[in-house]
Amino acid sequence: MTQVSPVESATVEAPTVPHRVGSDRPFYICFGVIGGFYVLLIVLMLAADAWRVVYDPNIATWTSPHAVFAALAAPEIQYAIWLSMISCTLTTIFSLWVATPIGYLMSRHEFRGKVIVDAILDIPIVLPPLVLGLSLLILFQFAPFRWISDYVVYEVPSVILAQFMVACAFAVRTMRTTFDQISPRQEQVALTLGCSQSQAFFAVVLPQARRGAMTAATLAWARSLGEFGPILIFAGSTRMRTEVLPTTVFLEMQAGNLTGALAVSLLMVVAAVIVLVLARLFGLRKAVVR
Amino acid sequence: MRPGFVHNALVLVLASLAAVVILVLLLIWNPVASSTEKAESITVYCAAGIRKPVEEIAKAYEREYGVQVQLQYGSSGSLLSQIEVNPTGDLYIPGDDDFITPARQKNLVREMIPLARFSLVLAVAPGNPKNINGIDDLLREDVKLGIGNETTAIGRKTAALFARTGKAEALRATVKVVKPTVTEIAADIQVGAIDAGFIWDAVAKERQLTIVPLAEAADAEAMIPALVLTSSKQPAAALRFARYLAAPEKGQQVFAANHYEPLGVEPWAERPSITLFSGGVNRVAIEQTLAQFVEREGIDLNVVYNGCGTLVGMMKAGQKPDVYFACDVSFTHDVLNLFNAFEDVSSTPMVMLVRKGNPENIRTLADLARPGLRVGRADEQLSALGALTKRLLEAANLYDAVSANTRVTSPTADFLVNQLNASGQLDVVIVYEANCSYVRDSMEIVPIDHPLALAVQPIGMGRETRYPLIATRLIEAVQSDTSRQRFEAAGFSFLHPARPAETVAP
Repeated sequence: MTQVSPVESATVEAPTVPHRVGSDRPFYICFGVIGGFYVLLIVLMLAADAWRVVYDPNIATWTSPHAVFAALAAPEIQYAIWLSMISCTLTTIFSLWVATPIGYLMSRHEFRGKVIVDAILDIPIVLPPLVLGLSLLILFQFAPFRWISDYVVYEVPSVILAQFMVACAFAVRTMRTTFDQISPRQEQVALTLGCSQSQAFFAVVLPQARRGAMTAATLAWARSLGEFGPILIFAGSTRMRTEVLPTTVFLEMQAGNLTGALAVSLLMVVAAVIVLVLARLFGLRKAVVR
Repeated sequence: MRPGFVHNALVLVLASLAAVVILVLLLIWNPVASSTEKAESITVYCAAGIRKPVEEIAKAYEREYGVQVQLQYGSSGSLLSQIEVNPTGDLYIPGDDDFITPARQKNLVREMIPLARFSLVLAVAPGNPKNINGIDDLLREDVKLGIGNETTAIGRKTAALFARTGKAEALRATVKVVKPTVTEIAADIQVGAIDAGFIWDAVAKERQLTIVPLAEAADAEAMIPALVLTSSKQPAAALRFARYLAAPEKGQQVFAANHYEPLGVEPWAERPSITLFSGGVNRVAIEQTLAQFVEREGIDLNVVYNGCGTLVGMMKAGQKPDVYFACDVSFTHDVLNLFNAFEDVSSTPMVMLVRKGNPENIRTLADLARPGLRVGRADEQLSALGALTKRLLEAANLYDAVSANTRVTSPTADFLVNQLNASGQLDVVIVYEANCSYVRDSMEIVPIDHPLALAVQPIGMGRETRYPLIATRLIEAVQSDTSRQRFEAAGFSFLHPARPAETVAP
C-alpha cells in the first residue's frame, strides 16, 4: 500500500524537491477514530439496552434474570423467533429469484420506459410501511387476489409477502449494482465463443455475481427481520400464527413493557448477528473454494 | 468446462427450490404451536323426537371427519336429569327451547347454538274431510280432538295456545283423547281414530296430513338448540359438531329435508376464522381471555392490534373485522355503519404518571402549570388521549399554562410512558391508567380528580360477519366475569354489568 505503482511514477514528472513519503499513521488514526466512533456507538447502544433490561434505574432494582429468561422461553416468543427465521429466509430466496433477473436486465439492457421501471422499483422503499400494508390489504380485495385472500390475508403467507415487497426492492438495487460492476467483456467473449445468452449468464456472469448476491441476500434477510409496519396491518398480530419478533417488540412497547420489549429486541440482534456471520462465512468460503 | 458451469446453475436453482420446499414444510410442521385437539368420539344426548335428522347428520359427520358420535336418546327432561346426576358427555340437544332455562339454572350447559324451528299446528286427515277451518270447528259435536299430555313439550304448547284463544275451558272439555307423544296423535289422525290433533308441523308434513292454518297458532313455535355441556372435557369438539349441525350446507339440509325450519346461519368450516380489531391499549386486558376463547371454541382468531386511528383507516380501506374493540368511543364514529350497536366494556381514567417517590411533588392538575415543570402530552390531532387531555385542561383553565410547560407531544400514550421511563427529560406525562400496568412498580400514578378525565372502550360486532354467533360469544367472553378481573388488574374499570343470574321460575 505504501509503494507507488510503477505506472504512476512513470507518468509523473520527477519533482525538483524529492518527494518524501510521510508516516501513514495519521491517516489510519483518523479513519480508525471516525469508523471506531460509529462502531462504538452501536455497541454502546446495545450495551445500554442490555443494562436497562437487567436494571431499572427508576426504582433502582435489578430485574431477576429468571424473569427475563421466563419471558423469552414463552411459547409465543419461541414461535415468533421460529416464524421470523423461516419467513425471512424464504423471503430472501424469493427476493434473489426475482432480483437477479431484474437486476441483470436493468443493468445490461436499454429499453423504452426504463426510467419509469426504475422509479417503480424504488416505490416499496419510499412507501411508508403502514401504507404498504394498507395497499396490500386493498389489493387483496380485488380479483384475482380476492380468490386467495382467505389463505393469505392475516395468515402466514401474508407475513412473507409483506416482507418480500420491501426486501426485494433492496435486493434488486444491490443486484443491479453488482451486474453494473461486472465487465460485460467476458460475457461478450463467451457469446462469441458460441455460448447462448443463458449459458453465458449462468457460466460467466452469475459466478462473478456471487459476492453481490450474498450482499443482496443478507440485506434482504436483515430488512425482513426488522419489518413490522406492513405486517402489523396486512398479517395482523395473532399470537402463535402471524406474530413475528418485531411485532412482539411493538406490542410490548404499546403495553408499556419496556423491559420485555428490549429483551426481545436484544434476542433479535443476537439471532441476526449469528445468522449473518454464518451466512458470510459460508458464502465467502464457497467463493474462495471456487 | 462449460457444461459443468451450466450444470452448476441448475444445481443452484434446484438447491434454492429445495430450500424453499423444506422451509415451507417447516412452517407447516411448526414444532412450537400446540397441537390441535382431535377428539375421537363425542357423546351427544339427543331428544328422541329429533332422532332421525340428528342420526343422519351424525353419520355424515363420522364419515367426513372420523369422529365417532355416540348418540344417547331419551325424552328431553329425562336426559337433563341424567346429565345432572352423571355430568359426563359433550352435547345436549333437547326437543325444544323450554329446557334451556332449567339447564342453565343448574349450570349444566354453556354455549347454545340454535338448530331448527318447528311450530304447533292443527293437523287433520289428508284433504280435510270434516272441513275443519278454525278453532270454533273443534267445538263441534262431530269433531274428535286429540292433544299431547301436559308433561310434554307438545302438551304445554297446546295448553298455552288454548289459553290464548280465551276458550280454554270449552276446548279442554271437547278433547277426546290425551296422548303422551306427538307421533301417537299423528297416528290416530291417520287411522281416523280422531279427526284433528295438535302436533308439530314437521310431523304433520312427514305424515302428509293436512295443516289447518290458525291465527292463534302464529307464535306457537319451538326451537331445537344444541347446548354444550359444562362437563364436556372437549368443548371445541362439541362445538364443532354443533356448528356442523347448524351449518346451512351440512346439517341444516337434513333438518330441512325432515320438514324443520332451519335456523343455522354460519357456514361450515372445520376451523372457522374470525378477525378482531383491537386498540393496542386493550391488549393486556383481553389477551388471556382471547387465548382461552380460541382454545375452547377450536377456531382461528386473527387479531390485529394497532392504534385505533390506524384501525379506522384500515376499515375505511375496506377491511371488515368481525369484532372491533376500540380504544375510545370517539374511534367508532367514523365506522358506525360497519357495526351493530357498540357496547361499552371498560373505561380507564386519565392519570399523571411521575417518577417513583414523586420527586416534583405533583398532586393536582394545577401543579402541571408550575414554572419549569417538564410535561409530556399526547398529540391533540393524532390521538383521542390528546384531544381528551386538551378538553380536560381547558375545562380546568390550565391549557395555556400547561402548554408552556409541554416538553414533548407524542402520537400515543404508550410512547409517553416509554419516554418517561427511558429518559430523564420529562417529569410527568398525562396518560391512561391502563397504559401503566407494566410500570406500576417503577413509577407512580397520581390520579386526576376531574369528571372529564376518562376514556371509554366499546366493543361491537361487524354487520357483515359470517359468524355472528361466534362473534357474539367472543364479545360475551370479553364481557364475562373472568374478563372483568383481567381488566381491573390492567387498570381499567369494567363497565359491563355482571350478567344477572337468570331468575328462577316460581
